Amino acid sequence: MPNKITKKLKRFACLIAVTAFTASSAYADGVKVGFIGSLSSDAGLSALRGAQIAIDELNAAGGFNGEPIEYVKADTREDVTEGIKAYEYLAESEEVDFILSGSIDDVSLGWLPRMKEFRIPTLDTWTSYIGIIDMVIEDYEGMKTYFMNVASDEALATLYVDFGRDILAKKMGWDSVVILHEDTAFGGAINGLVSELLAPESGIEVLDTIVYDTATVDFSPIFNRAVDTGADFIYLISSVNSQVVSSQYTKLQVPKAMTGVNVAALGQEYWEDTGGEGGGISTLSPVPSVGFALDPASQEFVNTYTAKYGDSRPRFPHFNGFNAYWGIKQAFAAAKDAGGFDPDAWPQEMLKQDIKLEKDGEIWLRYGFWQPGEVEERTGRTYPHNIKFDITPPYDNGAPSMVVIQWYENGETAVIYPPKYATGEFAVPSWVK
Amino acid sequence: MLQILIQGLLLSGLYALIAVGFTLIFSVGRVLNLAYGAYLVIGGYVYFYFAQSLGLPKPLVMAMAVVCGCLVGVLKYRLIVKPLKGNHVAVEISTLILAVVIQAGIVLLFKDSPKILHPIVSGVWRVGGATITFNILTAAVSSWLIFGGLYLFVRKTHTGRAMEAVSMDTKGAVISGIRPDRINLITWGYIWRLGCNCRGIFCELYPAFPGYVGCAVNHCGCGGYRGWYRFDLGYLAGGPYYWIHGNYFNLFDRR
Amino acid sequence: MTNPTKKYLLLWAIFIAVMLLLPEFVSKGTLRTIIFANFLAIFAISWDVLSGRTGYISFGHPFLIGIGAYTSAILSYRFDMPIELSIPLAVLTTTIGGTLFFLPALRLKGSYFALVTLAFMELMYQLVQVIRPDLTGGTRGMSGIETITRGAVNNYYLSFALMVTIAISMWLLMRTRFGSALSAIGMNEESVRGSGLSTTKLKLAAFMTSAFIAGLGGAFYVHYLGSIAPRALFDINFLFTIIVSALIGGAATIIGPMFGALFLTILLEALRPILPGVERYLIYGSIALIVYMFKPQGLVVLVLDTLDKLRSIISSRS
Repeated sequence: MPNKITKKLKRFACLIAVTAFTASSAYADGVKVGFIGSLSSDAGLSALRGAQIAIDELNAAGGFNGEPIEYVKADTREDVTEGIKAYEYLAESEEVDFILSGSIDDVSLGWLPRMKEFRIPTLDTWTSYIGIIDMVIEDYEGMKTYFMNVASDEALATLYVDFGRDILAKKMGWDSVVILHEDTAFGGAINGLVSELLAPESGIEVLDTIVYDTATVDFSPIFNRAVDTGADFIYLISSVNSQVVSSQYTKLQVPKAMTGVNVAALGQEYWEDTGGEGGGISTLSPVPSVGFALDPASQEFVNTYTAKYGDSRPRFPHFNGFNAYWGIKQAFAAAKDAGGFDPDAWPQEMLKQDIKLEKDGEIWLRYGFWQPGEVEERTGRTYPHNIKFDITPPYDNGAPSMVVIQWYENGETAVIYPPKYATGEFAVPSWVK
Repeated sequence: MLQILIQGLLLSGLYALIAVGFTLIFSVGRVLNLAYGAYLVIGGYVYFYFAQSLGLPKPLVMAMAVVCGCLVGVLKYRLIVKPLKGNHVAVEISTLILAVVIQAGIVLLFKDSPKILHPIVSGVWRVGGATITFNILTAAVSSWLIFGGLYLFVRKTHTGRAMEAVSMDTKGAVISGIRPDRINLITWGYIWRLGCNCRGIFCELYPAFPGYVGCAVNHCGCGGYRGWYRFDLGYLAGGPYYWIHGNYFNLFDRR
Repeated sequence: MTNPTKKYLLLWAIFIAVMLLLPEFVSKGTLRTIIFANFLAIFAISWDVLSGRTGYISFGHPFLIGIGAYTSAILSYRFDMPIELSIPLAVLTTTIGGTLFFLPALRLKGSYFALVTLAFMELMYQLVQVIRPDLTGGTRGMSGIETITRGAVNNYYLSFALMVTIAISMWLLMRTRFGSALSAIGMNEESVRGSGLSTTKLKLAAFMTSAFIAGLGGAFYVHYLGSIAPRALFDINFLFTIIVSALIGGAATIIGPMFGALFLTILLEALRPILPGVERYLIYGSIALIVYMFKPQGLVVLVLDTLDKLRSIISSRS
């Protein structure tokens, strides 16, 4: 009888020991990735799904340290306070090791103080705000767990200036522009960069600058004022509700060509949202974009994406879907070398990551990072922890910071600049004489 | 300047039409309907989904918007306004909560990017330096027609006069044999119809997106809180409001 | 109980003791949620002092909170002013500035007052972006504002201390004749005036108290968040949570707004793991609507009613 009891006790002790062991090992080795972003925007979902595909692939290959990678998501609804709550949830309720973000500018700025407090390695795939890179420069110790793998907005202006010189000035023979920009920090910043560089570098004079409110529903007075300036073309800078301004451009048949920055037109859904009335414009776009010829590795990612998510919006990943996919791969490669997501060791290894994606034997896309103190020649400044972009033609040292894409009136798209990536020609709408 | 004048002239009618819908409820029920903006938006999404995504004929979809609007308006009156009768604050707050619920519902169904609606009548007319779309012209004419109809309805029909009576003095109306309850119901249903009508008419002008729920609350708030039977005043308020709104960039141009 | 005040004081003491021990029992993540609930409770109490009592529904409280938050943020972030100085200045600015704006509006009644205050919120949203964006940070706001303390536990104690101090002060204030006069305005303003009291002065005092709390809450809030953006503050959803907290808990009480804030904040966070997407807001809003429709007087009344019923069942059995 006593023997039976001891047996039972032994078995019980064993069970506890096993449970305790598995529990502690899961705690020590299992890695949790958190997603922060809007679960109802195309950009947010692109990042969410891109990361999901990367994590699935990593798990299929054995996970991290032999343990499957867990993935949890926290919705920001593109709301700043909700973003802070979401970051806290990931950090303190879910205790994630790494955070992937698909946040927009003010939401990222909202949770950044939390990132500094918790020191969680965080990768941003959507916001391109140069101010955050400036924060990395000013407070490197505090900000070193932060990485941004989309080219910051200062870099895009330089590419546009080249486009203006090569295509708008040389090919089209235009020498004057009217700038139409939304009343946001983004609009103001891009306007500053473009109008400062456009005249001296491409010989295009800025005749007028019109600022409009993002809640504007009727653009006819604004377009009329723009046409009255007599400029050769309109340069639009719009990141909020951009479908509205470009669809009204089409509906009103504004007799001037319009190019610039239209954030809505960066995704395939633009055509559906505008009901097919948004053609005839061109916009700067981060890479890879709509109309972008893909390298085989990225194409494979797109195939997986469309097979998995092809029947719900966004059916085709936005640029930050690619960033999330490659970013997760790099974050885990860095974690492998750093022995985990330690806030001091991981950034060192992340900075060494460099994926060069080739197409037809030349560098097509590149996921690497600017090192602290490394100066970009053309702008003469540093971009620590920002994606390594190349803004000097012929872009043989990496991916261009941006490309210019064209939406034709029949709904087709093409990259029109720089020439290395071009799949089509710059076109003015049929109603412009 | 010519453009601003023409636009103001054409659009003020539409803005006033929205304002009248809002004030109708306010004066009859003495309650701010804070979900009114959401009504306008729903009309737009009905149009976008059925006419543009499914490709059903436009007149049919307009009728659908009206019927569906009426139905939801009546439902809302039955389920929310009537049980809380007499408690104005409770009704106002319920409409505020309802606005948030509708907004979440719309984002759930359509995601958060704006949707552009096709014009009902396409084409552009250029006069001097001004551009007028046929759509706005049609919308302006329609809104005037609706105004006329509304005026006749209020002045000439029994229901209309009853509405006016309830709005002036509820107790007095009861004594003279009017059931304020019924009038309220009619008004709420009617508002929906009106709201969705407006929506359908200038769907082209108003890109439907969820943010407008909040926005439209303000639109209506600024446009007209005067009594609905004084809709001429509401009309006057609509004009300058558009002028300020449409030319915001001029006032705050900070180059 | 012979002395009701003693009973209430005992209840306060129990409540404080429980809340002080809370960090021992719940996770840091839960504490973070309660921190937000504490701030929301402060805003809801502030709203209730004016609107819950007098019946003047303010849709402009984000405007007041925004003045407090932005003033302290600008002073400390742009001008390196110590927080000990920037917060009192922010509270002062909110009380004075808010009063200047609201004074004309207080002459309006009922829904008209609500509409005008709603316009203030919208106005502030636009102005913050346009006027001196070099100070306000424009649409992107400011990030990296000095925080008072770090960590979930410290911030929990700080926010709780602030909330409970405000709550008890208001509880005491509302037990005075001033409090009764405000409630009387809510019931019938004419008769209060008829009894020889100046309703304008009373309303003004109520408003200034409300603005004072809003400014205080806003200033501490921004130094908790560490960042500020116009979209975070001057937003219809923020307004919605403040008003609904006060009403769903029970207007014209102190425990009501506190309870409502806790209920709404925890409800929203509890739904997160189950419904990560926008469905969460749909369910959250629907629950709020149903609860409110079911008991417009608030959850506190619901709880008291249930207790009464239980008591009568028990007494009838015995």
